[in-house]
Amino acid sequence: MATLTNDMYKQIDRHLESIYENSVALAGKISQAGLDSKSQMRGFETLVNSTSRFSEIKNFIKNQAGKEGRQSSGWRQIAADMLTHLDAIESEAAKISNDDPEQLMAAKLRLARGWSKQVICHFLYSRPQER
Amino acid sequence: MNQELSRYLQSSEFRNFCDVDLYTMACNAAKRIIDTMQTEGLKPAKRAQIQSITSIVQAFQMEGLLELAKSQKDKNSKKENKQFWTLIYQHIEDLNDQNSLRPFVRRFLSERHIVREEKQLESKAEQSRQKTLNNEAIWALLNAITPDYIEHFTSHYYYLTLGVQHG
Repeated sequence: MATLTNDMYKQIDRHLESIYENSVALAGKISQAGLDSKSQMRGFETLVNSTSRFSEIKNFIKNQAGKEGRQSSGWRQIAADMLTHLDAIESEAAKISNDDPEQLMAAKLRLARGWSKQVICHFLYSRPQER
Repeated sequence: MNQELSRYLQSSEFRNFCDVDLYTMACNAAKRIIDTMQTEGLKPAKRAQIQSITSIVQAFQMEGLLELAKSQKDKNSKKENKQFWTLIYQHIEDLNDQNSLRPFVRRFLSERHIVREEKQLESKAEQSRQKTLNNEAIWALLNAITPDYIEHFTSHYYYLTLGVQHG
């Protein structure tokens, strides 16, 4: 995968700082949605960190929300919000990479990994306080 | 395989195409099929039907899906399923529908001068040769996009039928 420039890394970090509060709010919604199994979010984190395709992250969320049964009801409550966050990340990555095909995917994935770290860290942090 | 196409399939441009343009196309197709069935008073096809799409393309790529859709639309007795497979078949094969996959792929390759218009060639032999080359290129690209396309399509289908929170 293409290497991002130093300037792009800085822009990505700045963007992640700017969305931190939104990520915290999303983590709160995830807790409220009753996604009480830590492994659900860990599974999501593993996928985000290992995939080479940004769309696989969106498809993972849709698949979780689209499963039959009670377990997926939590995902159903938060899926639209998560997809909106990811769409915003995709737009930002296009700006940062100037739509350069070599760097676009790398920028999207780096932003997505930073974002998911923010969300999951706060989700895990807030869980004991809610019990 | 055509060298130009082979280079394209290895490129970042192709990866981004699968991740963005193909994603949008597949989501639109899933929505269009669900909407069409709703308009006709039919429920969306059940999960087992969608799962069979994933299974067949893993084993037999797009050609397998086309065969499955053809046989299912012809023999399925359940109205929902029959209509679902008819729409899937049309979505892949309908040459009159610009949103269908085959016309799209042909157009896409024509724009890159990989597929050429057969009728512009003078001799029958040249036309026939070009037709074979065109078909090879079309199926090569169709098969290359199939795994991602079907992942996008099925995920969005599940999401729209079960995953969207109502009320």
